[in-house]
Amino acid sequence: MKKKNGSVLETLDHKLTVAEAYALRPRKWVLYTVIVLILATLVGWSGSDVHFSGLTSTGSSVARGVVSGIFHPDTSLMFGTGETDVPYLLLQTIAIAILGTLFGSILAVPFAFLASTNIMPRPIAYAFRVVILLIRTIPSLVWALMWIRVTGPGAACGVITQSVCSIGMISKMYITAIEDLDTKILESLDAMGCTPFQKIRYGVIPQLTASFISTTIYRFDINLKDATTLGIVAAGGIGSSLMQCLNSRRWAMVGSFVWGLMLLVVVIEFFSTKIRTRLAHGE
Amino acid sequence: MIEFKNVYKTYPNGFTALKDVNLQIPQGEFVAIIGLSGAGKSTILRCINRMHDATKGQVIVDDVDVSTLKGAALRKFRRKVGMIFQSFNLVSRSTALKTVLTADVPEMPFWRVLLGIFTKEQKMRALESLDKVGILDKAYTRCDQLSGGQQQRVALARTLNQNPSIILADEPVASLDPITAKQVMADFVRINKEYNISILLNIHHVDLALKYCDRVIGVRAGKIVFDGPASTITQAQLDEVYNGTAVPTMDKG
Amino acid sequence: MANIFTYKHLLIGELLVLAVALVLTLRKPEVITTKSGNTVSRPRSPMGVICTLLVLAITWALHMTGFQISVIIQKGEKIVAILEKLFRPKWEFFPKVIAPLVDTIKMSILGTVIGCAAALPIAVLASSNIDHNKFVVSLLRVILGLIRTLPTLIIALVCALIFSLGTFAGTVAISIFTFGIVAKMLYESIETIDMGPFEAMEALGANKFQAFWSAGVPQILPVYLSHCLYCFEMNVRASAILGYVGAGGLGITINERIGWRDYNGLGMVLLTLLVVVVSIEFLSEFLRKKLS
Repeated sequence: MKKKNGSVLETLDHKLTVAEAYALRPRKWVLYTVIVLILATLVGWSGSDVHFSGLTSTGSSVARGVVSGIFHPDTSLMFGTGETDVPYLLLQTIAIAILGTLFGSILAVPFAFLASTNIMPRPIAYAFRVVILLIRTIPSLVWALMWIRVTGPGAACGVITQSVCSIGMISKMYITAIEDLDTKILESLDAMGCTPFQKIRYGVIPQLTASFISTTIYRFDINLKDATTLGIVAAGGIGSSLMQCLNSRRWAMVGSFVWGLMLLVVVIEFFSTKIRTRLAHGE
Repeated sequence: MIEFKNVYKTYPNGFTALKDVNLQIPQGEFVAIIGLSGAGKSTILRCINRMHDATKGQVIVDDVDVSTLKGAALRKFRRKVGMIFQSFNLVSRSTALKTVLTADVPEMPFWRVLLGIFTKEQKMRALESLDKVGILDKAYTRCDQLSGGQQQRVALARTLNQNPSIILADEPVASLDPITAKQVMADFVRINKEYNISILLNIHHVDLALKYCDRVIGVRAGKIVFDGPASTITQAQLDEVYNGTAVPTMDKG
Repeated sequence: MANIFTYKHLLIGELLVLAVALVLTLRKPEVITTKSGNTVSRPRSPMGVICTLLVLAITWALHMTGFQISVIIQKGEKIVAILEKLFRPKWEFFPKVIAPLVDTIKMSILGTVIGCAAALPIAVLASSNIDHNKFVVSLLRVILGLIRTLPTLIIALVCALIFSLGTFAGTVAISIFTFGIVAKMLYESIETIDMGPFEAMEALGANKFQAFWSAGVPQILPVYLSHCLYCFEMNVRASAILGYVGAGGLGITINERIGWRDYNGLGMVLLTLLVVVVSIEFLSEFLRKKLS
């Protein structure tokens, strides 16, 4: 094996034999076993308290009911035009999401700017980030229950809840966009003799619009699903009716609401992905 | 022995890649297949291990018609045929040793494959394969940290670990610089002579083909236009293979 | 009645503006000719139409939801009072928070693990580059899509009705929607992997499972673990609410406190939640850095 004539390799170190190479193998199995043990303990501990206490007395009938409801939905409800029918409720849910997202994205702008480290001094920026964090941690359901005291139950409560909750996520995404700002453009505008307002209008805003709009659409998607969840606390939309029907075991109606919901989400997701890809590539 | 009998291959989009190909390649030969891109070189190779199916005709390897092989029998057949790719096709995040060990995977029980536990004997054999191509010292290095030439050698080691009787190499040196390319070609020659493995090599650079290989097959538009010892090919015949365009060599690219 | 009267008029006015904007936008592009005789055509900006549509949508939505800013301003002090109490947490309440909190964490861990484990084989089957049976791939994707459209709380509610109140229902609910989300993210990742090593494995005689496990999994493992951690983070937040419909955990405590108007107590609960969520975020950031 040592046949090379005066090659550089030979002078560096002696040629490894296979046996030596085998002895050198890294012993990773210790690390892996430890990781597996940790995971197993975690899972075991988690499962310790969760016991299957059997189905409720009505458990299996509920399951069967839901399934039958999905396969035999109440078509009059699905295509009706009244205020308690699926189309109207879907529209109401959409309306809640539109306003919630819109107000949220507008309100998030000042928050985001105040919390960006490249615009505000660090202590202030961090202070506002804490505020945003607090807003985000309070679950939307809890916000809804609090706002009900102000607006009473109904769609209006849903709107204000969603506005506040959207601030949380939207400002976080805005902050990322703001901190990614390309300042070189501002330099060239400065060199041309622009006022601060003009610099913001022509240097900052064009960079941010596409990202802001994309974030808003993304959040709209989420708010749509969230609006139905809020309905459970009677904040309007299709969620409230769904909840009532589930509680009164009206399976066919449940089925039609589920179908309406699925249709809504699928359609909106389709359009929002299309718009967002166009934003990313085109205008 | 590899035989092609009146083989035709037409792709679903209507393009006929092989037209009436007849070949006989005895065990232990080192054959270079040359020709323009799209002439059918890759298709010939891939018909041997049934990565592609011949539309008409027969491909017979060691007295077995490969079109009759299915499922487990086909996989068993493929164990004996090694394939080297232009883009190396290594598992980038794995070490060289782990990549070479994957050659044993088809014959391992399910639980061993799942947990990635190889026996000492398998590891020693894999290290031997790495040693045969001269990169034993890189056994525990991650594949994406190796140079192009080293990666191709790992691929070669993986193939050797299969103990194949045939090696099919699809443009193995196209991504390598001239010096490394010559080293890898020399490796192929050594493996061919030492272990009597048949090697079929697709290659773009004619000078390398003529220098290292025993036999040359020229393919043009799906037909064999030249088949003979490397020493006997003439410039006129090369021009016919390359359809009048400049014959590509390592220096001119 | 007066409201609806004005609304209809507003609506008609806006529709007219929209019609005008549409007509103006749908004209042929304006052709500008420079002094040297070259022409350039300037496309009509859709901004007019978009803005009008937006105003229309907002007016309609305001009417649909009956939202009035005046109500917020008038009764706004109520929410301020609540928030004030929220930010003065009742420390003595802390011991009562621990047990439900632990329940919530257990539910999240177990639910995430089950959901992620089940998602892996299904995602492989739903990837068009591994599984060539188009029918299976489409069917699985449709089913996964349907699972994802259902809001998590609805799934939890149904589970609570079927499996009786408590953490079991919550765990099942979390497993289901984690499964839906992770499976989708996973099959999208699987479709972007380099198929070369997979091809090499098939060429040396491996079957599809062996080829995928040896050549595909090392490529997607970091992404898969990253998705799982992200889901775990989300699930801890979500599971805190599941209790509202009776599916166990912190949500039950939250529900109680709100029922009693005990906002100081609620503040304590939310504070604990905050600490847990932030620590998990830090932990998963750290783990994710280690993975790549």
